[in-house]
Amino acid sequence: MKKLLAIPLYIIIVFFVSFLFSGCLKDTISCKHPYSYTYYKPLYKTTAEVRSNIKSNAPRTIQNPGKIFIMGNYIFLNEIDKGIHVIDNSNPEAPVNIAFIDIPGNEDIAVKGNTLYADLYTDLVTLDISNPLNVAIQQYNDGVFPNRIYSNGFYSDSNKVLVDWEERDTTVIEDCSSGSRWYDSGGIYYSAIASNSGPQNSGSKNISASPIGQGGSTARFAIVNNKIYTVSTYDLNVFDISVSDKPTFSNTVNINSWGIETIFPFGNKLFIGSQSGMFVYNINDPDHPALDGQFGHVQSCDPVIADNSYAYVTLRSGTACQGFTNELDVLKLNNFTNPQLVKTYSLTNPRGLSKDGNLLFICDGADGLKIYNAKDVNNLKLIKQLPGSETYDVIAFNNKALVVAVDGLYQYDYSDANNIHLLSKITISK
Amino acid sequence: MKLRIICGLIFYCVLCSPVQAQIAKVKFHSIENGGVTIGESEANAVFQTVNGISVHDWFLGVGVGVDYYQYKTLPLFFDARNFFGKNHKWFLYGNLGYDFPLHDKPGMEIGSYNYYHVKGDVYTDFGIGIRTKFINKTSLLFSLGHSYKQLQFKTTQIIPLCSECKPQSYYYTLGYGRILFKAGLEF
Repeated sequence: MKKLLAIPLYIIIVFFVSFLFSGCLKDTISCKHPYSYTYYKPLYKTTAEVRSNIKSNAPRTIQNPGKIFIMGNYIFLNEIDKGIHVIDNSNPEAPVNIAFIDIPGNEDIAVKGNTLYADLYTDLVTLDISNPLNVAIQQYNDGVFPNRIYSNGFYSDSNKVLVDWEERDTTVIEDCSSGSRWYDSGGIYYSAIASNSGPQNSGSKNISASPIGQGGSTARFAIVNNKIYTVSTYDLNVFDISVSDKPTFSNTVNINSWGIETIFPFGNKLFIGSQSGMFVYNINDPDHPALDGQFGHVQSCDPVIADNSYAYVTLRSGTACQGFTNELDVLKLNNFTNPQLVKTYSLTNPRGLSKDGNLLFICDGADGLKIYNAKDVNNLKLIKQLPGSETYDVIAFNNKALVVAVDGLYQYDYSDANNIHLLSKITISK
Repeated sequence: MKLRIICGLIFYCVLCSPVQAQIAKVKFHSIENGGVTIGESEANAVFQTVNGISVHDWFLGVGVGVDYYQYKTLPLFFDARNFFGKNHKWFLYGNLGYDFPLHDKPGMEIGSYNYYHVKGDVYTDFGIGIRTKFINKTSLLFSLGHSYKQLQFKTTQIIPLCSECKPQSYYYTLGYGRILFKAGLEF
């Protein structure tokens, strides 16, 4: 009897256990998707913290150089969104990186005498650089560049200053059983912020031998006498620096164009490069620049320099620049009111350019630095090409060409056009 | 967790067996099974061979087979069964093992940019059966149980013309719970 009872008991136990622990009669599918990605977390400081650190700090390695400015024996090299490298160039064959001025959000520089003007995101900072090893803050002009947004369009907390991005690698295991995919940004900026927006500028030859330093063809700050002219993406701002350490905002001129990139002063003219054309403004009334003429071109990035008779405009394609044009346009200025195209020269991917006498220096991307004899603008002759490095920017001044390239800051001696040779190189750490 | 419960169940059965206290008479046996699995998606065939020893009313062996349910696999498993009832006619059995996929094709599949790879996983089968005499020393076995097999499936997607894009891998766990009816011969 006991055995007879035991049999159905076994059956019940077996099926109970079986169905309880084996998911019964179901076909199941689960999915895991591990993926890794790098994100950048914004690091903030208070305004007070940032301002207390704007001083001559220990020199740093150059990693992501931006615009360059030469003043006397010093080179001021922008580290994009971080600050300014101060390089003692007393001996061009052995320049020495002597200090770093922390200015978060800095992209542009201008120097007059012992005063350096720099942007700090939306603010203008004025520094006394009479002793580059001990710079002193003179003044802040708050909010004078309202259009200046943070990197890659990232807006931060308005009460703090974005000083850096912390790179973080992370791996996440996503449940993909339901088909959900990919990630939610959660207010954190992903991926390509470290891309090099490219150093800019090339040498302009200032009218006077002046206390005003040398900027380049892609600068957005330009000093003419007692004024600083700055361009945003669509307007031109004027600051008065009659009292050099106390700049005051003077005026804004709407340029009626979008994509303004560069400003280049020559005489009483301002040459403004935009992605759609070049504009010539006269500054007969320094506080009220007035449009003299303009020259339209296809959509592209557009540094510009000029001399008494001609403007030299490089057009470049690329992700940010759009377009497919890579060339040098030489424009006859015709009293500046009606610039006309004289000749176009095909190039690879031109960026900054500079001219000293008859020598025209062009940074032509991966083709390196090209030096032309520009005596006859209808027949530019390539004197020398210095390949081997992707060049962004050049300032040619006083027989020295200062070239920013992807791998370093080069200086060449061109006192003998037939024997242009390297003087020195400061390596960029990536 | 599931594995632990199943293992525990089998060990419990073994440890509680009265065979411990008896002098055993060991015999070699071979069991050849054919059957059908019925699950949520389909009904399909199963073939197995189990070889082992019987000790008193216990049988312990090792089996291998082919399981055609959904994804063709080769289960390799330990088999334990306890005979009970009048003339040891009834038996409870439990199988625990590993399921090898028979259709793994690591390498490019599905166009040119996806790879897949299938790995085996746990295989279980336990239930109840009945044994009847057939010819001479051969018996007929019929059993009804529940079987579960699991597979790991990895697909990797490669994004064409994107040298900086990392391949994306997706790891799937496929589980199949079925009723398993088997008929076989015991030698």
